[in-house]
Amino acid sequence: MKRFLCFWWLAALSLTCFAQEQKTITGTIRDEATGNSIPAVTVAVKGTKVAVGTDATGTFRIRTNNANPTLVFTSVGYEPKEVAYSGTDAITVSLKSKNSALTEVVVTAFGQRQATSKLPYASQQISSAELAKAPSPNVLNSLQGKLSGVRIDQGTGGAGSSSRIRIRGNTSLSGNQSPLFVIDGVLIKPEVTGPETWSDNNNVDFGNILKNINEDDIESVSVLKGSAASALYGSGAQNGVILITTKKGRAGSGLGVSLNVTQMWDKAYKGPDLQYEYGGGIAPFQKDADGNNILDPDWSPYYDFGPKYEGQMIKDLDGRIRPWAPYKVIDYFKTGSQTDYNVSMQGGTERSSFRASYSKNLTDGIIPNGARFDRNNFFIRGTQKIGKIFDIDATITYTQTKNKNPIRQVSNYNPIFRFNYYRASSIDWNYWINNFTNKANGGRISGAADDPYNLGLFLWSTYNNNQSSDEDNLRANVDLTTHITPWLTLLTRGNLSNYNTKIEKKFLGDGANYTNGYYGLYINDRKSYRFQGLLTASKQISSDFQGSITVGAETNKDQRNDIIDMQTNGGLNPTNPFYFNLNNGINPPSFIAGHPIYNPSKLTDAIYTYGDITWRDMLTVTYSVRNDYNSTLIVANGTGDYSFVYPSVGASFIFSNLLKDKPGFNFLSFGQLRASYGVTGKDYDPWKLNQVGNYAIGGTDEVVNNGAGVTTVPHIGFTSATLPNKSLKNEKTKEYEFGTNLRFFDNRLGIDFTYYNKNTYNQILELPVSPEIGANTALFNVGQIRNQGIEILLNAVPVRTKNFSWNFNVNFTRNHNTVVSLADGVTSRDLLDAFGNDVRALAEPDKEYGAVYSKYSFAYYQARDANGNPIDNPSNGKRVLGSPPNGSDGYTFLRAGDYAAGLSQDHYLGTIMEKFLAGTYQTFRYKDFSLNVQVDAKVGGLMASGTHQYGSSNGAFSFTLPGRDKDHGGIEYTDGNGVKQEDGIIPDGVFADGITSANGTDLGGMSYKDAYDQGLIAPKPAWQYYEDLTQWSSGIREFSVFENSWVALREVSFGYNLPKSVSSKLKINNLRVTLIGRNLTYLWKNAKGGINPEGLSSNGPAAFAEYGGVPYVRNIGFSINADF
Amino acid sequence: MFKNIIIVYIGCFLLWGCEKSSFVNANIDPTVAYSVNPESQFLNGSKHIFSNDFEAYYETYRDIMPWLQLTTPSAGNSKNFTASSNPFGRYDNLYGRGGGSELYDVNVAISKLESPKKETYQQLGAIARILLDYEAFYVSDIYGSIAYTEAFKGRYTLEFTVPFDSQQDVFNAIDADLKSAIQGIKTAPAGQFALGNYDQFYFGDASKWIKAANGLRLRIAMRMMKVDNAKASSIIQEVLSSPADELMSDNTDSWTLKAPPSLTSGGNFNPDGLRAPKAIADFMVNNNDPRIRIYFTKNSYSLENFNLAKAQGKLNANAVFVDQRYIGSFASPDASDDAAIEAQYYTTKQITKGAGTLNLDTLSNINPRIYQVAFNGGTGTQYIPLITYADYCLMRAELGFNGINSDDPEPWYTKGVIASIEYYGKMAQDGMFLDYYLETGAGLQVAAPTQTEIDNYLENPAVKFDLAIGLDQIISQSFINFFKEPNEAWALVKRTGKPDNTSTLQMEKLLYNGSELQIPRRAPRNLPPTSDINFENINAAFTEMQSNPDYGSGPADISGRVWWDKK
Repeated sequence: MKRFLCFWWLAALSLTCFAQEQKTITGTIRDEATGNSIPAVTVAVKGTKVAVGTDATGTFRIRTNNANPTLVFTSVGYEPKEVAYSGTDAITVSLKSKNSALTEVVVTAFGQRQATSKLPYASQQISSAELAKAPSPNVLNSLQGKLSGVRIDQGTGGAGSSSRIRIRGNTSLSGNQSPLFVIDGVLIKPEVTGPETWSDNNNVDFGNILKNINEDDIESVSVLKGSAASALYGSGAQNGVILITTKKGRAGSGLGVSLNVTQMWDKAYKGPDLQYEYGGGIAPFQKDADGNNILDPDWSPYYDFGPKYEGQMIKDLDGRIRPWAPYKVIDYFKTGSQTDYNVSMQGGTERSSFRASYSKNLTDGIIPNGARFDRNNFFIRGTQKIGKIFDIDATITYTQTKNKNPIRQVSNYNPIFRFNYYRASSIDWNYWINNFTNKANGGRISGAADDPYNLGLFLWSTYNNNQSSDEDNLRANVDLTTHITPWLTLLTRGNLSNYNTKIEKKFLGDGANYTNGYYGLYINDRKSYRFQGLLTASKQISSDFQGSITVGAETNKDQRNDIIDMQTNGGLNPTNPFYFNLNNGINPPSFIAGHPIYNPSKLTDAIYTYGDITWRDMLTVTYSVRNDYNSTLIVANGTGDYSFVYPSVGASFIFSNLLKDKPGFNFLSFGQLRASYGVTGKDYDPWKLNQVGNYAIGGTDEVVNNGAGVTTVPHIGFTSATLPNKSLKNEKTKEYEFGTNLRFFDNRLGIDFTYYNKNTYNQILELPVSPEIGANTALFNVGQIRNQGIEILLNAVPVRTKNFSWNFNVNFTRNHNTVVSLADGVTSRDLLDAFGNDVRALAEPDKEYGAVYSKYSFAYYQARDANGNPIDNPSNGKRVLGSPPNGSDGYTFLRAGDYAAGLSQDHYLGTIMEKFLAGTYQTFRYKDFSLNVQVDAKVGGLMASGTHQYGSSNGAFSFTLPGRDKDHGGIEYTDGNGVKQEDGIIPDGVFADGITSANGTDLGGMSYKDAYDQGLIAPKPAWQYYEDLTQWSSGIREFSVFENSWVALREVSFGYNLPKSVSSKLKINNLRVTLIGRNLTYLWKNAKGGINPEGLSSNGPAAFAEYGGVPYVRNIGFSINADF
Repeated sequence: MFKNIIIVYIGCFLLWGCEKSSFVNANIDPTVAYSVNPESQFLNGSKHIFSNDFEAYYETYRDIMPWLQLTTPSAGNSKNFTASSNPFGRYDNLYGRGGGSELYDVNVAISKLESPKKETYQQLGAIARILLDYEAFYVSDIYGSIAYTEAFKGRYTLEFTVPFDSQQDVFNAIDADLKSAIQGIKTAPAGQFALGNYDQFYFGDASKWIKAANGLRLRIAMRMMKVDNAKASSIIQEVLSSPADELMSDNTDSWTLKAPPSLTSGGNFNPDGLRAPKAIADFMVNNNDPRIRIYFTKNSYSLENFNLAKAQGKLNANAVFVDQRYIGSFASPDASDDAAIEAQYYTTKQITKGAGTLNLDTLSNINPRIYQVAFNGGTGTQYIPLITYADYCLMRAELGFNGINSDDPEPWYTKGVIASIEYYGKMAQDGMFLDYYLETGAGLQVAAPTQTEIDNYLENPAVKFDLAIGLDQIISQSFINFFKEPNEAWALVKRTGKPDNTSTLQMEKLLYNGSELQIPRRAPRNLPPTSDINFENINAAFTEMQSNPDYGSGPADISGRVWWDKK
C-alpha cells in the first residue's frame, strides 16, 4: 500500500512541473453585485493555451510571454469578460452573474453535470464552501437541517458513531433505509450500527463506513431524492442517492498549498432535569452512638427521597465523615475536543491537474476514558489529457480510523443511565471514581463492605474495559474518457473499495489479581469493485433541438470474505492478565457466533440507456431505462427472477422564456415547471434466499458418549424457522413528482416547490405463520408503503450592496409515511421495540410508519353491570388504580394490559415520524466579515426514554419533587406505625372494580381523592407513588413515551477574511479565520424531563428510543484557512 | 483507430458477461446444505425438546413443582400461588422452537433417500415417531386440542395454517402411531443404520424403543381410564399381552434422555434456592428413604456451625444439637406466613466463621444438580426421565390393584420402589450429585443407595406393602418416584386425587386465610387476535373444547379440565 501511495505522490507531483513564463499577473475576481470573491473562474490569455483557475478565495496568478495580453475570464453562471493588460500586474475584476437559475449546475446520476433548469426533478447540492463554514468530523452531521426532504439524526456514541439519514421517508419495512452513497463513482452502502435493544453489556456504536469520509476533500454533495433522479442506480436507489464529488486540483496564484486547522471544544452543558435538593434514602438520618448522621445501607444508595441537602456532615456507609452534598451528573463529563488539520497541495495546467491532501482528525470525547476518534486521511486526485482523445481522471482515498471507547448505550453501563437508575445523587462519586480498585489484591471492589453503593462494576468497566475499532478504507477510481468524435464520447470507469475493520475488546480482569480478563477480536475485510462504461452521443440536432443519448453497462460485485470473531475463554492467564491476546486465555479461544461467518457476495450487473432532448432551451424531455441483473433473488437451482427494469421519464418546461419580453412580467426572472416519474427498487439480503428452508452446516453438537463422557458430532440442521419463497420479486418503488422553480426580482427571491408521491410495493417480509406447521415465519412479497409530501425551498437576498449582503434560506419538508397495506390477514409488523418489548413501533395498515403501541400504557376505567356489560359511569375513561400483578407498594396506576379483558389492552400512542422538518440558513456579509446562522426544527414524532422511566423510580428527576414534603405540597397523614408523615400524594385516578377499603367499603370506580376525603384510604407516600409509576414491575411506560419536537440553533459561524493587503505581507495568499459554534442550544423543545431530544441509540430506520443517551453537548471553536 | 478502440471496449464488455451462472454462484452460501442426514435431525429434535430453560424456570420451577408440593420458593409460597400461572414452555418445545419439526423432518429426509439406503433407516423413522408422539402427548396432556395429524407439514407444502385435533383424536392417533412404529422397528430389514450417539436415549438399541413405546401406550391409556374406559382397557390388555421382550424389565430399559451438561446449562435451568418440600422431606426422613440425599441438600446446622452459633450467643445456651439436617419448607401459605414458623424456619442466623460470616439456614434445598448437572461446575450426565422402569412397575401395580389386569400388585409395587431408588442412585452417580451443605456450596459426591438401605426402607410399615392401604401406598410411592417427572406427579394427583393430607405420604393442606387452595389442572391458553393467520382453526378447536362443561370459564382458566381429566 505504501509503495502504491508513493507512486501516486510522484505521479501527481510530476504534473506540476510546467514551463516558466515571463510576465506574472495576479488578481482577485469578485461578483459584481455582491462583492463576494468567485472561485473556479477560468483565466486564460487570449490567443494562447495558457489558462489558470481562481482558488477558493477568488484569486489567481498567471504567467505569460505576451507583453500586452488580454485576459479572458469565464465561469459557470457568469457572463464572460475580457480585460486588456493595462500595465498593472495586480488587478481586480468584477463579473456579472448570468441568470443563475439557467446556469446552475448540479451533479446527477453517474456523475453527470447538468443544468438544474433542465432537470425534471428537485435537486439540491451543498458546496464545499458551505460545508467549510462549520465543519464536523461526520459529514452527515454537517448536512443536518440544510436539505429539504432529508432528515438526519446525529449519532450519540461520539465522533465516529453513525448518524441516521432518511430521504423522503421509509420505503421498506425491513433492512436498512439509508440512501446509497456514491463517492466519485464508488458505491457505498452504509450499515445500521449501534445497539437498538437493551442488553446488559458493553454496547457501543463504532459507526459505519461514513465516518471514513473526510469533509476537507469534498467539492460538493448532491442529493438525488426522487425516483426519477435515482432510477439509474436501480436496485440500490429506493432510498435515494447521495452523490459526493471530491475536489479537483486547479491552478491558482501562489504555491497552491492550503492549510486548514479547525479546533473545536465539546462541552456537555446539560443533562436531564434532575433534582439536587434531596439525597439518598427514604427517611431522615439515623444517628450512631457518636451522634453521627448515618445512612441506611438498604435505601440510601438507591433512593433519592432521603434527607434534604443542608450542609450536614454524615458518616458514609464506608465510615468516612463527609458533607451531605449531591454529585451532579454533568460534572462527570469532561470537555472534549475536536482537532482537524488538513494540508493540501494542488496545481494544474490546461491539460492536467492534481490535488493531494492529508487530513488528520483527532477527537477526544466527553467521557472519561472514552470516545477517542483518530482519523488519518490521504487523498490524491489527478487528471490528465493524453493527446486529443483521452482524458484520465484518477482518485485515490485512503483512510485509517481508530475509534476507541464510544459511549456505551442501552445498558447499565451508560453513564447517564447509571447515575440515575437507582443510584442516589448523594453518592460520593468523586471519591469512588478514585477508589474502585481493590488496592490489596487488584481487581475491583465488591461486596457490601467495600462497595456499599455497588459501583465497582460500572467504574471498573468504564476505566478498564477498552474497546476499539481500527479501520482501513481504500477507495480508488479511474475514469477514462475517450473522445471518439466531437459528439461521441466513451467513459470507462473502474473502481474498488476495500473496507477493513478490526475491533478489539480488551477487558482487564475485575477479579482478585485481575482474574476474569477478556480479549475479543473481530476482523471483517470487505472488498467490492465496479466497472462501468458509458457511450454518449451529444449533438445540436438543429437550431431548435439539442439532445444527447447514452448507452452503458456496469458490473458491481461485493466479494465474499470470512469474518473472524473470536474470544478468549475462562479469563486471561493469571501470569500475565495485562496481555490481551487470543492465546492468553486460560481455555482455548473460540469463535463467538459459530463459524464460518461470511460477508456474503453479491453481484449486480446492469445495462442502461438514458438521454434528453431540449427544444429551444425551453422544454427538455428526459428518459432513462436500467435493466438490473441481480444475484440476491436467484435460487441455487437457477430458478428465480434476476432481471429487473427501472425506467424513468421527465420533462422540464421553462415557461418564463415565453414571457421574457412581455411587459408586466418583469418581476419574474425565471419560471420552471417540472414533472417526472421513476421506478427504483430494492433487492434482498444476499444469500438469504438460499438459506431459508435449507440446512446449515457448521460447528458441532455435544452428545453423551455411550459409556461415559461427552463427545461431539458434526452439526447440521435447519438454517432457520423461516419458510422460503422461491418466486420473490424485488421491492419496487414508483414515484411521480411535480415541481416548480420560480425566481423573482432579478433572482432576489426564489421559491422551489416539490410535491411527490412515492409508493413502494412487494415488501419482502418475514411474517409469522402458524408455528404448528413447523416454522415460525415465512417470506412474503406483499404490502405497500406510501410516502407523500411536499418540499419547499425559499431563498431571498433582502439586502445586496457592495459592502453588505444578506442571504436568506428556508427549507420545509412535510412527509406522510403511510403503511397502506401488509399481507392479507397481517395486521401489523414489529419494527422496533423499546423497554424490552413493552413499547413497540409497528407498521400497521393505514397508520404512519412506526405506530407506537404499548400494553404498558395507562388503563382507563370502564364500569360494568353484573353481567359484565359496559355501562355508563362518570368515572369511565379515568385512569385506573389497582394492584398490578408483578408487585407495587399499594395501589398504583394499572397498565392497560393488566386491566379488564374486552377493552383495548394495547394502546396506540402515536407515530415515531415527525410532522414536518424545517430549517433556515442565514448568511450576512459585511466587507470581509461574514456571519452564518442555521436553525433547524423537527416537529412531532414520539420518543421513548428509558432514562426518563427508570430514572424516575428512585426520585432522581426533578419532576419527582412534588409531594415529598410539606414545602412541595405533600399531604400529612399518619402511617401504619402511627408516625406522622408529610409526603402524601393523591394519585389522579379511580379504583378498579373489586377493590374495597379496610372497612369493607367498595371503592370500585371511586376516585382516590374521594376515597381519601371520606377517610377510606391514606395518601400514598411520594416515593412509592413515583416508584410504582415507573419501576420495572409496575411502571407505566406511556409516561416516558412523549412527543419530541425541537428547534435547534445548529450552527453559528463568524468569519473574517484578512484583507489582501495584510495577508500578502504575511506571504499568504489568503487567510480566513472563522469562529464556529455547533449544536449551541435548543431554542425550544418538549421532550420530558430534559431528556436530550437527539439521543437515539442507533441509526436504525425505526429507532425511537434512548437509554441513557448523551448529555447535551455544544461544540465551540475556530477554524483557520490559509492558502499559500 | 477509433474503430479499434471501440472493438477493444466492446470486447471488454462482453468479457464481463451477464452469465446467469455467475449470479447463481454469487448468491450461494457455502455453509448451506440442501439435504440433511436423518440422524442429525433426530439428535436436533431430541435436544430442542428438552433444552428450553424457560420451560424449566417458569413452567416447572415456578408452577408445577410448587403446586404439587415438590418445592417452594425460598420463603414459602405466596398467597395466590395457585391462582395464576407463568407461561408454559412445552408448547414451544414442540412447535415454535423447532423440536417437533426436526423430528418430523427425520422421516421426510428418509423418504428422500434412494433405495436401498432408505430401507436401512426404517427403525430410525419409527424411533423418531415414538419420540415425537411422546412430546405431542406431553403437550396435549395439559393443553387439550393440538395440531397433530396435519402438524409440521406446512414446511413442505407451504400451507401456512393447520387444523387442530381434539385431545381424544390426538390420544387415539398417537396410540395407533405407536403401534405402527413398534411394527416398523420389528419388521425392519437387517443392516439398519447404527444410530450410536445420535440416540441419546438408548444409544442405538432399537429394541428398547419398543419397550418405551409400550410404556407410553400404557401411560396414555391410564390417563383415559375415566373418560374412555373401554378404549383404555383394550390398550392396556393389548400392551400387557406383548411378548416379554417388548416390555420393560429393568432399569436399563428406562426411557431417559442422557444429555451433556451443556443441555441444561442455560441460566434459567438454575434451581438454586428452590426449597425441599416439607411433606416429602418428612416422609423420607421418617422412613430413612435413601433417596433423600439425592433429592435434597442438608441445611446449615452442622455440629460445628451449631456450636459456633451457640458460642456466639445466636442460639439458646441450653440448645441441644439434633442431627437432622433435612428440613422441608411449608407449602401452605398460611403455614409459611405464620409468625412462629417464619421465625423458626425461615429466619437465618448470622454467625462468624473463620474470617467471614455465615448465614445459617434452617431449611434444606433441592439438590441443584438433579435439575442442572452443570451447577457449580459439574460435568456429569443430565438425566431427563421420560418413562422409567419404576414408572412402569408402579403403573402395573396400580392396574393390578384396580383389577384392570390380573397382576398381583405387591411384587410390582416392591419392584417399582426398588427400581426407583436404584434409578435415582444411578442418576446421582452419573450426574455427580454432591452431598451439599447449604453454606459451602460444595461437598462430597453422594453415595448410591446401598442394598441394606433399600432393604431397611422396604421394611418400614409405611412402605411395606399392605393390601389394606395398597393403592394409597402405590400412589404415595409413585408420587415420590415422580420427583424428577413433575408432570406425572401432577397427572397422578389429577387422576387419583392422591396423595393428600390423609394418605401414606401425608401432604400438606394448602391453605390461605384458612380456605383451601385448589391447584390448577391445565395450561392456560389464549385465543389469538383475529388477525392471526391460523385464527379460524384455533377458534374452532377452542370452541370445541369449551363444549366440555368442565373446561372452565375460558381458554385461560387453569382450573378447568381437558378431555381426559374427567371429574
